[in-house]
Amino acid sequence: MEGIMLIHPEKCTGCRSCEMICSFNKKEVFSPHRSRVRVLKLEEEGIDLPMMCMHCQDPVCSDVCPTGAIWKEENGIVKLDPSLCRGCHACMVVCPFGAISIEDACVVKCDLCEGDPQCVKWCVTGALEFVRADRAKMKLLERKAEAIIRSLQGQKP
Amino acid sequence: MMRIAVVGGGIAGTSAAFSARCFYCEAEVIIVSEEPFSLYSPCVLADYVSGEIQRDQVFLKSPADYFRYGIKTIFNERVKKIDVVNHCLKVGDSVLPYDKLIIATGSHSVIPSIKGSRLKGIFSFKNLADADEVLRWVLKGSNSAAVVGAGPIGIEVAVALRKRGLQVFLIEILDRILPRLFDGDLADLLERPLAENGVQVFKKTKVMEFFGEDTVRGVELADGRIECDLVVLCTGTKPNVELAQEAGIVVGPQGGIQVNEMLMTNMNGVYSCGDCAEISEGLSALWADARREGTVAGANAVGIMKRFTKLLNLTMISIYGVRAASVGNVLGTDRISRSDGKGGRSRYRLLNSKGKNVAAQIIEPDRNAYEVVNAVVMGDEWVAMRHPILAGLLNPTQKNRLEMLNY
Repeated sequence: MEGIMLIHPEKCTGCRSCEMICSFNKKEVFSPHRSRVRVLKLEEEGIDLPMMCMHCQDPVCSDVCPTGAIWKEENGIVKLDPSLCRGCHACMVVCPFGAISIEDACVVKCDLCEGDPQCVKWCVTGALEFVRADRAKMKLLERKAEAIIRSLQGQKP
Repeated sequence: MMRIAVVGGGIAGTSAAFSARCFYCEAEVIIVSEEPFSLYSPCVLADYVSGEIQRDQVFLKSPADYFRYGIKTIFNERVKKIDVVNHCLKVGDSVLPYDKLIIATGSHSVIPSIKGSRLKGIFSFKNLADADEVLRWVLKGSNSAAVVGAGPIGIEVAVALRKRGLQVFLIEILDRILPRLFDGDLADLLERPLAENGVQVFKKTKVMEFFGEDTVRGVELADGRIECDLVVLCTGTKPNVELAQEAGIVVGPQGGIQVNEMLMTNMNGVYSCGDCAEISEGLSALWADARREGTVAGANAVGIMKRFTKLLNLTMISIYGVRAASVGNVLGTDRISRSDGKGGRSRYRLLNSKGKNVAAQIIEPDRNAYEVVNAVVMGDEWVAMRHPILAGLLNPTQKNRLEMLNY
């Protein structure tokens, strides 16, 4: 079943546990630098936003890859095979989210841990959520409803 | 049963065939290709010549892949005629009827009409056969090579030949390398690694003649002469439109098959994609555009409406580890204002014309590169289309961060 990553920026506290566990899971070091997920801190707006590969429906990175090293699987995960990568970095440049980074002369990206994302497991506040695609709509509706209620109550959403 | 015929087995044709199969599994898809090989990546041919990758790594699909998706292939056969009225192709001696046709004949390299350009040892560099020939010539014991044209292909070939230990001369008629992609000062930055590694660059000079009796022995320039025993011509490409033209399909002002947003030609049921197709924006001979066009054309051929409106025009090049990216097209725009940005080793330049970002030039792209590229090609609309939830959040920050880059 196709899963979808939901990101709730309003819940994120910027603790960066996701970065830690991601780098540990992939590279066995605790180094945010090596992480596939990045928490973007927008100081002025007061938002912490975890950013990672969004596994686009129609991924540009796979379109520009000249060696076919990136493809979208049937379960919705956009995968990357490092052995095919020739290091041209075209995918990194076109990604609309800046989710692809370089590591050891090869590009790396989030692969949702083969459908079992560790960052979601370790997210304390629930800012990251991995849900089945048919549940995602309900979750988004809930979120919208919450925002509407809050704005009705006169709070800033 | 619907039969879709695809002329051309390059990336555009192949992705059109696969996309047609994916969107409508009952369609019978046939690829007719002039090339004897299954799909390979022409982008890595220079790496193959330099010996960094093996020949089998060039291929992206094996014959079994076509079989698995139920796509029939006719390789090494030329389409002699397209009969648009009776809906059939003439392939070899047989006639192949079709319901929908996708023309993805690609392009051929231009051989300039210079004296002696048909001598032995002078090659173009377009497909795998060319690369094989060049490599064979190199392994036969070639000592020095001249590469004519300092576009991305020319530079890649020059670097590859240099890695093989040849003495390499790169000849460019304009005043800088990569003239269509970079401004003068950035092109000079990119020229440095070439010079450091022993590629001799001749700019602002013209090839007058290739001399030699049977095989080439050298190049006569406007201001000197070079001794070499191998010449690679990387002087641009032209779309293959003869077949389509004979069938009465309209050719656009830039010499490609004119298509609309749905990649349909003026003939009913005939689509075109890849290097040979000319959309309203113009021609593109780049991998990513061909692949995206192919996907759209294949979907449209089976009745799934998709639009192709904007070329990506992305070129990436790596010159001895110095990477550079160029996005967008400045041809045909005027009143260009430039804004520069720096970050670490990276250098960004955004070209703006009449309030619209038309192109970006990046040297050593890092994680911020996507924002610059976004500002040019994709635009806010594009992000919104792909990810409506994030777009709202992303847009204001994107602009802020772009300003930050310009400090």
